[in-house]
Amino acid sequence: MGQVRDALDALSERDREVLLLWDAGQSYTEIARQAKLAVGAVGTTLARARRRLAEAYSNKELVDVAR
Amino acid sequence: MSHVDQGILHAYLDGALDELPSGDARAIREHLAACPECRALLEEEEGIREQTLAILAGPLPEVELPPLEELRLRAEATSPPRASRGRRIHRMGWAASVILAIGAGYALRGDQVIPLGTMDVIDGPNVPWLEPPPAEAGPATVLDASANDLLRQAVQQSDARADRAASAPRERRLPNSVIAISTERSVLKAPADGDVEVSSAGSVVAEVDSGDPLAAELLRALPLEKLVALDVVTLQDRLLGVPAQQPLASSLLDLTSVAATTKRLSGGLSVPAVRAIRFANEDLDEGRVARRGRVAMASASRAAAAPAFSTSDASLRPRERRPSARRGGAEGQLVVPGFELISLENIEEGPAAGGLRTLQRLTQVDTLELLHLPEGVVPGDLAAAEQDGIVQHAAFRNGEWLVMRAPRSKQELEVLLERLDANR
Repeated sequence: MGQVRDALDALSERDREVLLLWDAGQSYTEIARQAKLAVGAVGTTLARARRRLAEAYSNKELVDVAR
Repeated sequence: MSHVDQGILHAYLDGALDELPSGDARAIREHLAACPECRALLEEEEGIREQTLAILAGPLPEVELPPLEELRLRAEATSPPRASRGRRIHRMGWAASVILAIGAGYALRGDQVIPLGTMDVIDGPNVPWLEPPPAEAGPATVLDASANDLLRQAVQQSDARADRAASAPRERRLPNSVIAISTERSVLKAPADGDVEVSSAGSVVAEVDSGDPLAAELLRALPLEKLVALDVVTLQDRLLGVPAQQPLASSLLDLTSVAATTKRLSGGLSVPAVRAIRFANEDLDEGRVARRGRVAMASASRAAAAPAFSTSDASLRPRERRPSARRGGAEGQLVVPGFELISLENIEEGPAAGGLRTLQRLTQVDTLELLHLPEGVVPGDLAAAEQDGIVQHAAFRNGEWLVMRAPRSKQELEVLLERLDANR
């Protein structure tokens, strides 16, 4: 249950915010406005945030299995 | 052109190329079509993106929030200064352990409470499955005076709207989207006169136009510690036959920021509505309407609970609500694990009336429809699937017919059926 949260915690605050805004259905323009980013930087931030989330999530899974 | 960078690939995957200031969408598409290296990278990034989607759509963690004073301070730090009403909060403090659900699945009042069956619902995938906790659980909770104030305002406002609608039905203007606020099991009680006190499972307290600043304020002020669900009900003028206040898209945009606010306040965790809103945006992107059909949200226990609503103010009485549609125990058996649920509805018309229908998302664009036919109805009674490319597969299980429809081969549908059976 806490896995999603732990994975999200592994992200920097900025990355997390952008990812969650995107998950909330915001457009890139909206995300840029709220996160005070250039629109062009949203994709880059999302690319990094997604990769980290996926990594953190699968690492957590491995740890859980190992226990 | 040179190779496409990761950020642009993600913008491409998110359908946001046109939003990029420098993005020449056409050149990027052409390059992707021609460059095997970039295509490979695109596939990899797409896999990661899909993974994130699945992770974020996963089971929602328990919401453990910091104290509400802290949330309030954070909210104030990120939003423009508000009226003096917000200041009292620091003197009052917050009552702990309020259990509150925003939106237990009911709808806007026109001249009465409109049951979900007559309007469009954008359905969060988890919402219909949330069993309300027993009505008797949970002690009475004292609401902060400022939250109570806002709640009263919301109740009065939605009642006034109902009254206006009753007196001039032809002229009524409905908001496109409404946040329905109701409680699951708690009793909300404010210390002062004119309390809004609610003491029943699933009572609708008020519906707020999501475009109204009050909606955002309420979401900030109400205790969100144990947010169960937040429903967003979106109306379509063509269904109700009345003009809507704003175009659907702009109203959804407002709603999105409301949801984002909620999400931020609730510690960044997803609540079902946040995903419901994403559906809506996707639908709009594809030029379709945000219609998901009828959704029977109320569970048996919720339907059985009499709408009790006690308040010291007679004008805050609840409206009668029609009993919810019957739901058998079949819904749990109608969902193929691993796919996002779009909707669940009772079939009320046509040869399959009395059955159940679920829609699940197979991919961004493909949907699986599963029909659970009532006893005595056979697949041959149904009209053929409307769209080209939709394959139908029927299976007889425990005296009932299950019909699956999706743009997939027969074999693939059989595999899906096996997954469904394994889940029983």
